[in-house]
Amino acid sequence: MPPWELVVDLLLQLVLPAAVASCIVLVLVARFCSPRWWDLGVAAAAFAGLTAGNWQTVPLPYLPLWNDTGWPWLLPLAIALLASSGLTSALAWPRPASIGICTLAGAAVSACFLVPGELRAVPWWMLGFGSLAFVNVAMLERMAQRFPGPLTPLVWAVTLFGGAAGVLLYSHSARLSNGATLFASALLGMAAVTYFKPLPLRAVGLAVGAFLPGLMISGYSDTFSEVPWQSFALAAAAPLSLGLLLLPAVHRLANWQQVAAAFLLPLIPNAIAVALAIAAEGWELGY
Amino acid sequence: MLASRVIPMLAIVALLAGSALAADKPLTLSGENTKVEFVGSKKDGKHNGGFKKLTGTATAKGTDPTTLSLNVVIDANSLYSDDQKLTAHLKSPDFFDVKRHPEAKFESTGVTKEKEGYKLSGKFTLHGETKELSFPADISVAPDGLKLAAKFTIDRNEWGISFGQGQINDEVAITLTVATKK
Repeated sequence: MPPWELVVDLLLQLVLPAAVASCIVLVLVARFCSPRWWDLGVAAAAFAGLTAGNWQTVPLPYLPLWNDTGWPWLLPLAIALLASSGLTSALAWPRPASIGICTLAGAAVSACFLVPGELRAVPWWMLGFGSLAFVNVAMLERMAQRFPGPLTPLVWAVTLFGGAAGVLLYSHSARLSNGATLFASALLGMAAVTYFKPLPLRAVGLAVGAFLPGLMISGYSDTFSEVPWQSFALAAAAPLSLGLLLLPAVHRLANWQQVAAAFLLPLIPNAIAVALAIAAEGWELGY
Repeated sequence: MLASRVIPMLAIVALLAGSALAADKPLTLSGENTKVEFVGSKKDGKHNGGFKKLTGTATAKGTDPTTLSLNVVIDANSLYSDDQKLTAHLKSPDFFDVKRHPEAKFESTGVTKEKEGYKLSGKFTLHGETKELSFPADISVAPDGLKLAAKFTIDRNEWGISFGQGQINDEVAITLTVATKK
């Protein structure tokens, strides 16, 4: 485990500001907005959480260099995807075509900006990343629609970003690990609100579906550790496991069993990813 | 008689002229003859590190240090430290981000004589940021090579390496040593 002082600093400077900011904005959305504006409000809450959590520690830049690629684009791209997702819904463009186009465009743009320069020499990295982001988003949005309560943000925060933060910490990048913690914290604040007032987090799915593999591909490319590539791949592709929820057999399960499946399915690849990282490296950052 | 006096004089003149010209020729800098080391510190300790690989040139007119011109390109990926995990961490996006910024550069713009020693000024590019940098240095340019020793501190935030503020000190001590021989 990291030293207690580091954990407390992280809680005070990143986790709490992100969670409180997203929570406050979502409370206002739930209280004052009509259902038509919920998606935009949910996106605004996630934006508030990300910017508040990033304020003091600044793990991620807001304005990267135009010719840069990889992790520096994570935050601006996440904000852009939140905005496009929220606005698509708020403007009531015809569904599901608008959602599909928005997701496809978001995945393509993510691939252009988030695949680090070193990997671009091999074209299938861009294609693979874009495809993964697209399918990730489809799975996450499906989950958000199926479970509008706190389960969705909790699973995304604790399981998806928790697993990613663990793998990235063991690959010796506190910055990227904090990036995962940042999004997890914003989602935790939203989970607190959706416990009392169920709200679909579909508008956040696009940003989560691109942000997660974006973090992991930079972790794989830009860090120097013995953590195997399988750890990064499993954490990046963990949302795909939610596809099993679409199976007819799962649909026939009792509600609590479907909830358990939604919780456990992404936990399995993430647990394996973190276990592989722990087996390969210590968490120590060396200072 | 005449030849016995003139020939040694000509030889001395030729030797002096030759050594001054030789000093005008660029001296090649490498990780073998040039050391760039740093010490990072925190409240309860410090770590040593440096860069193993670099390339560059040094030129001077005659033996005058104020005419020294220095160009050094450091291979950021050759970074080392006294702890293997720290080395991995320093190379990561948290600090030097060597995949994105594989080179650091120093290009001198002038040397001025100070009360003690010299002041070397130049442009220092690190982590993708270029800033003016001046530091005191002991410099001696001799016919047989160049010797330079400098110890100074930089504020890592000026070069955009700001991660870990509050836990790791902003000031980083740098030691630069050049000892070339023709």
